[in-house]
Amino acid sequence: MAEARYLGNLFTYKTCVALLTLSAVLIRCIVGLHSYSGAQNPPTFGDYEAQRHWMETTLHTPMLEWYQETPDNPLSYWGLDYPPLSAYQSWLCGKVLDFFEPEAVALKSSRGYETQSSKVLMRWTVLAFDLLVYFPAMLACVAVFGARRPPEQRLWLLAATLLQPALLLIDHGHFQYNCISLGLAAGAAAAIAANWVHVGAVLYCLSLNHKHMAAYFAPAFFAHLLGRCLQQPTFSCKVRAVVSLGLMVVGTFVMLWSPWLGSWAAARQVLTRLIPLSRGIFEDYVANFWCVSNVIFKWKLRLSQQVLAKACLVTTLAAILPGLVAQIRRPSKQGLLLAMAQSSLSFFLFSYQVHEKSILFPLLPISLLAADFPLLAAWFPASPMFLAAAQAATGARAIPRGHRLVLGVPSTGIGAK
Amino acid sequence: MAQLTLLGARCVAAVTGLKLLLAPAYRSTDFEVHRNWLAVASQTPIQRWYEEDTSEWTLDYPPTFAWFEWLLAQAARAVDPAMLKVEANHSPSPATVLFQRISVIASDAVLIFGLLFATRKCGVKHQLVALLLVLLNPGLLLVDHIHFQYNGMLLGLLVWSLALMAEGQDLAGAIVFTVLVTMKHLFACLGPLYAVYLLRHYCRGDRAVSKFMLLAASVSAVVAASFGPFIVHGQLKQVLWRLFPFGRGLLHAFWAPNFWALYAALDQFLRALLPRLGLVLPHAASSITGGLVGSSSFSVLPNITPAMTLISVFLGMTPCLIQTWRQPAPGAFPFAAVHACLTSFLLGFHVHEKAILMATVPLGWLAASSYMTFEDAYVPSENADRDLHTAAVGAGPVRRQLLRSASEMQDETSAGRGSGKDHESTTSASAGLSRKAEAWHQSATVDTGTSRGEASQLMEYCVLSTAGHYALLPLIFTLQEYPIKVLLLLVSTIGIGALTGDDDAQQQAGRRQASKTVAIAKLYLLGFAVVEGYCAVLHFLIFGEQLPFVPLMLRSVYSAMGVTAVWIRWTTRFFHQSSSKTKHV
Repeated sequence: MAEARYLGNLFTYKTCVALLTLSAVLIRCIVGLHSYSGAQNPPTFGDYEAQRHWMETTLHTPMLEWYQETPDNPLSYWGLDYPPLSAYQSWLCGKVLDFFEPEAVALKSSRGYETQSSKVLMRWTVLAFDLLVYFPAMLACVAVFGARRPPEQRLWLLAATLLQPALLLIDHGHFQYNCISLGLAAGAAAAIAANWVHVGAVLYCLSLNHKHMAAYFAPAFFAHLLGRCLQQPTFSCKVRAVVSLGLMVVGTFVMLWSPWLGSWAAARQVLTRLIPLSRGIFEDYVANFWCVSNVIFKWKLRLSQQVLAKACLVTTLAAILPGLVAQIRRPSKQGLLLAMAQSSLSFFLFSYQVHEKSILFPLLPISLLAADFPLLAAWFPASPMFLAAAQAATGARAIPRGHRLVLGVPSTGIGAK
Repeated sequence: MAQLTLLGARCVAAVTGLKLLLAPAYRSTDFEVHRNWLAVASQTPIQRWYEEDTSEWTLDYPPTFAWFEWLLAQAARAVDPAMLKVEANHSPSPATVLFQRISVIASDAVLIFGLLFATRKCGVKHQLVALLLVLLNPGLLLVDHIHFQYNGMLLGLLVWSLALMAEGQDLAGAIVFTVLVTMKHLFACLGPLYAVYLLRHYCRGDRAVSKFMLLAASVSAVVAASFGPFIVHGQLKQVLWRLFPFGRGLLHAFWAPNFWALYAALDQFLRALLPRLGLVLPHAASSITGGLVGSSSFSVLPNITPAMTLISVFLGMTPCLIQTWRQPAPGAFPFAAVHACLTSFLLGFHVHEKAILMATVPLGWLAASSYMTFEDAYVPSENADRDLHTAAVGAGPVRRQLLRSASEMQDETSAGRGSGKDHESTTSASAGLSRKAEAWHQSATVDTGTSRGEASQLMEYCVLSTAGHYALLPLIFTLQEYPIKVLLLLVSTIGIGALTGDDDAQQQAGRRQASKTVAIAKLYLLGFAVVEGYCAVLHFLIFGEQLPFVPLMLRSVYSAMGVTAVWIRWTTRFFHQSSSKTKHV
């Protein structure tokens, strides 16, 4: 019996996976040819400069001062406001850049440093983390969540996640390292679904400590893990399961935060950097509830910030609740993904201070559900692509509009399989 | 008749998207060459087109291409009039870059049309494979959409012409070919083959002379339309002077992976070896690796003159020409044409490595015929019998087997039909045929598993594509594009390699060991990873900036081995074919 073939009935499953993976790398490189956010746009440039500046800061200042206002680290200029794992990653990337092109990360003198070679190096660091974290995580997810599915659907699942257009654009065009926290969160989901709950808990903590936006998934992970613990036969087993998971979580946090745990002030300084409450309910244009309804009811004018923050909290919690309850009562593999999608989307739609790039977080579980809801997975990414196109129209963005649409097309092909 | 399938259309759309995304990539001076031609064609009167030399990038393609540039300039004016300034140092605006990039992508429509035309009677899978092999040709993507040239359009004309010839539409094929040659004279290397074939296949029968006159008139009309205005203005000499600049060397700065690269490498080797043996070098100290175009000579082996290369090209083409003269078969013509292209690439004078596309692009279309189904092969026509016999020339074992059984079955049915003109009996015969087709399918799959004496057509294509296109990689030397060019080649090699379906057939037949040829081919392909690893990393770690020509030489010599091996296989096949035919007749 000949081996079954896919993709126009031409290639075996293994070849398809190889071709798909290599093509995904190729497309990332090609997207990377384009410009990045804030290119040649002084004085503050954009996210690219933020990442470069973090490398500069973490490389040249002592750890305790990373989140602190010092003469070498003025926080008004792209001060570090991501959790510790991001800082460590910046330090590592800084080392690499320092080896090949020290001027690119020289203290202070490198502000707004833009050369072709440093751009290529920066791009390749994103690509390296993509290959080290995101790709393996997606292969694991396909193996775990697609285990009982026909190979053809597994291939589509892989394509939907590896060629996720929004991620391609934001990480490899705009310039960020979302692939790390997304990959870690997806890895966590896969590990938990494969019954490695402790590994999953650690991975999720790492994800949360790379980008706190991963907290969008927190209710889902919390509910699913709690639900699993409650399924233990006896009361003492239940307690033991909860405690062991709790220890893993606390242990991971302590390890990552250890440099700043020496004093209460230092830890508080990091926290205040991570959670800036002073900003408004939404910025510019975000396709969430507050922004859209603002057309009818001017939230910012009619209500105070405190009231709005409370309103956000209540609506978000209300939106999350159904999935939360379902997972605590009856945790399941697919339910975990659904809960992740639901909680992250609730946060995106109703929470306070949402950035449009946060759409990447709901997109992850939705892509992983591509086999169950092909139509949703195909069309949902299209909406943020329109958003991105609109942003390109407001200027200061790198990739021409037409190109964003070009990238959006393959994803819509998935639904029409 | 197979339409463009949904999958095929998606494939075309995806490749077009990929090309669009490549817009900001590195572009060579060829970008400015074509920009300048746009300006010259639109801003100066015709009599100045081939004299204008404000910029050093003067027009050196034949007139039809200049007309094409004139046409493009009409659209360019609407995009950015500054693009059309005749000046020496032009810095293109973003709109200009996008316009020129899109003009290449749009002109690729000719290639897509040519392919769809060539595969319109093929099965769905056959067409899809042809589209994939040609549109994702890594060399074409590198040269057209990064380096910047319009080869896709030109090769589209070539494929169209070859497909017309293969269908027996000789006059149309000849006209398209003439248009092609008046766009880029590189394709003139196919001239002898076309001439021989047309004389023997088209100009025969009762009306041979009038057919010949018709052919001559048509071809002359195309040439006149192209060159006419320049002849009227007394510019012909100037045009020809620009088209054929003499005084260049045998080898380009970077050696194209052909026979002369091996020759030069041998010379280098002897040059290092002889003094150690206490022998004196025959020629004065001179360097071919200096990197200067035009000033190269050998230190041990005899120097090669243009005349010598011309003779060797003719000698190399001879078996194929003789075979075409003896048996001018439409089905075999495209294979003969690819062989002729390969020959002039391998033995020609001052060949540029980009010229390999001339062979690999049409071969991509032909190699897809491994996916030919029985129904495709069975084309009932008056001279189907002869066509089927002769189409086997140059075809791989799968196809040859298929053609053989198809013609056998045709013999059987025509015997059964008696007079063979009765419609009813034809339908019953075709019903029998479809039953036989199923049986054939089964036997063919077994056959591919057991008779692995030769690698399939696709394996040859895999070697030629990888070897030929690998030598194109140094064209794009910027760091940013490095992973892109390597991945393009890697993806296509893995894809083509997987299409050969060797492992499958082997398993099916219960065989553990792949045949010798396939094993050698695979080993050779793996060798590219070693060569690239050395050239890209190891060499600089060991020697630093010293001996900069060694990686280039190594790349081109290793590629040349593969190209030469494929050429030898093809040439011997033509020899074999013609000798077996003489026995037959």
